[in-house]
Amino acid sequence: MRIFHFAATETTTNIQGNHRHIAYLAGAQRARGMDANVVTSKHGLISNLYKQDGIPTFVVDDLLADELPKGEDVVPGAGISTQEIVARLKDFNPEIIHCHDLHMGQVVVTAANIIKVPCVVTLHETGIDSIISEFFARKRAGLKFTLITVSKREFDVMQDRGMAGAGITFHYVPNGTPVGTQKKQGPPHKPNLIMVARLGFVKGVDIAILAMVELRRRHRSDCPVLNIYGAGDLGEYLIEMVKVLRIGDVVKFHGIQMNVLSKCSSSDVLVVASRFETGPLVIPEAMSRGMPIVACNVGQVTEMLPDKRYGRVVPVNSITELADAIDSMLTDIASGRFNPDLLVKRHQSQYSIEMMADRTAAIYESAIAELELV
Amino acid sequence: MRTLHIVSVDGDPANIQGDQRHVFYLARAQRARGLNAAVVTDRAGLMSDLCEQAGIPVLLVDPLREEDRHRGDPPVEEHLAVKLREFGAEIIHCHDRPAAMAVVAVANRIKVPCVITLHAGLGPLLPHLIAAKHSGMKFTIIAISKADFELIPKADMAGIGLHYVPNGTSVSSRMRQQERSASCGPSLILVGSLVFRKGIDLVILTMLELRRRRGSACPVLHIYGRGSLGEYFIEMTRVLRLDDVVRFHGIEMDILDKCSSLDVLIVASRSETGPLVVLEAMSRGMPIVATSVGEVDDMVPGQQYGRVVPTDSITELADAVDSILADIASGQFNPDLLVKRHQSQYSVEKMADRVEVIYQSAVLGS
Repeated sequence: MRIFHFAATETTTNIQGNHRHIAYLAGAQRARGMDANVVTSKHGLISNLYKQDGIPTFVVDDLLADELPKGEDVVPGAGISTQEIVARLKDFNPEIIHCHDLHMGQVVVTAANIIKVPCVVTLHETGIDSIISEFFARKRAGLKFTLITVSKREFDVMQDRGMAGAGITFHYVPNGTPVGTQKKQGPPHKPNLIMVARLGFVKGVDIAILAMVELRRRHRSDCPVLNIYGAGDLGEYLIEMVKVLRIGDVVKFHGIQMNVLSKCSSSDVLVVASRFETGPLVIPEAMSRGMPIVACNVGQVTEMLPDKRYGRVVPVNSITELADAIDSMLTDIASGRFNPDLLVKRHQSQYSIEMMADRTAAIYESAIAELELV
Repeated sequence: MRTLHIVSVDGDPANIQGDQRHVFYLARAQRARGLNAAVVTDRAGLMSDLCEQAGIPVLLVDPLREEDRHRGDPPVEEHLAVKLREFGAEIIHCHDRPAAMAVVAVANRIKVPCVITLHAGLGPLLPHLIAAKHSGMKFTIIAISKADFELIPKADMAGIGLHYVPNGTSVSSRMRQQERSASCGPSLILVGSLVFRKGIDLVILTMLELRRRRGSACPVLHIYGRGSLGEYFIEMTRVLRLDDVVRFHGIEMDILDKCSSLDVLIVASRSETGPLVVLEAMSRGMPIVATSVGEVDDMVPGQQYGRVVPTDSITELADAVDSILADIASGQFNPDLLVKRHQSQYSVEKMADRVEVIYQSAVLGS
């Protein structure tokens, strides 16, 4: 099956969650003998990674041009006309088109319908409530597409809002990740806290930093160190914040490091302080390595971590509750009550890349069958 | 001239956003000049209450935002067309993206000139305006910041009226407040929604730095407003043990009227177009420390008016507050300069004059 995954590249020096998802999915699809390819809008770190992974990648820089649209037949947000997009898609000769962001979805769905190729859109973005009307409008306009959400919570919203009744096909496919490699265990050491995130508002890095103020007050010289991996538009602000708070000894910024979890000890604690997420990939990545997790209650997190054996889930934007949860998790680790095998088993049974690829393949087949019926 | 201002209510209707405040000021000024201005909105709340108190008629319509509509609801455009015809509008003036998206086609259909003010910058509205222009619709655009005006792609907007009209505000009825007693130094005042964009976290961290520098002589920061991050900022203040110098007060109407004119207005926003609160403080002669966003550099062009600092810089904000407090203490700060600047550049009368000329041109053009 010839599959084309579409996603815009917002930043050339970072890897967005949806691109990590595509890399895992396309890699698994190619391992199964499918001809999976990627189309994106810019060269950068992610297009290089796809190439390293042997995934053919096409950079179409005018598909989502920064320049403003011109002409009568313009697609809002796109730099070229529908006819030109149709021509591009025909060149690719796809059997399935799989969009991984809404902007790309807007540009590609109409063209996919014109050339009669099934189009699947995975919703990695948060806030289905604010975009749902767009899907109703597209359905009313006679367009055919299949939606996948990676979050059970968003799937429930889609059901409640009557998408099925409106004839929109949608599925819930939780994110899956490969089994992660793990650093060889040396002598026991004090666990560190690990945060892997873009340095922006959404990821709540500021909340984690403020939780460190509270933790240092409680633990003084015995306070764990928070290692932050990532870059982003608030990077300089967050570094200054740590300096003003005088906690540079317990909060360290490391920039982007590839496969950082594989370099961590499995007793290090993953901290996810996000304000919004759908199905944060870093959690199954840590889970597959048996790493304890403390995360905010966003998106799919409570399904991923259903009770305290797997980690702690705290309300968003709560500094003290985050500090309490980290304390409690560290106590579990110190007393030997934390069992990493439970996380590894949960990953295998629920969040493996194979499970995600199986579920996606079934959706592709159903989308193709549906189009053939028409 | 029968003018309808259309603005949606996003978020808490008990709050009043900048675009709604602008509508209120403009409609009130227009009515004072004898224009028959009314406001169309989709939720009753603080703005509609204020309008009604000021004698501005308010028409409530179905939700303008697509996300607030339910499946099966009739298209809002039909409902709007009926309302606009009933009112006999001669000018329709849209003040946000949902209003513009719902109204431009309707205004063209019923052949009433349509003006759109870009309060939230060009952003996501621009592709829709370009698409509307390509499909033959007519409208006029007002940018409230020079930066936005310069960014409008003139080639794509050939034939569309494009104008720059800076925001304007009324002169306070209680301008130049009585000074506080000598023992009570200036306070810092922040008026804004408690959301990330307004940089409240930045100011709280600045207060940590200021208390470290000034000890017990640290000024107190009073924060007026509420929003989705309210509890987070209150907890942040508690965790940093700054409760003695950072106080949250919720929403208080006309709060600047209750401040001393020597209190310092702090605007720490990460993005703005033409922040009204800067002009409201200016009209009262209050010193201003603001981040360099939107129209701020034009509003506060020299140190005699206040300080402008880069966004997201804690230390530079603290330095700027220190510096303006030093000016006030040494008598170097002259509030009259701000008052005069407001009168000459940012009065509501100036804004209403400029808008009226645009209306006349739009009517002639139609």
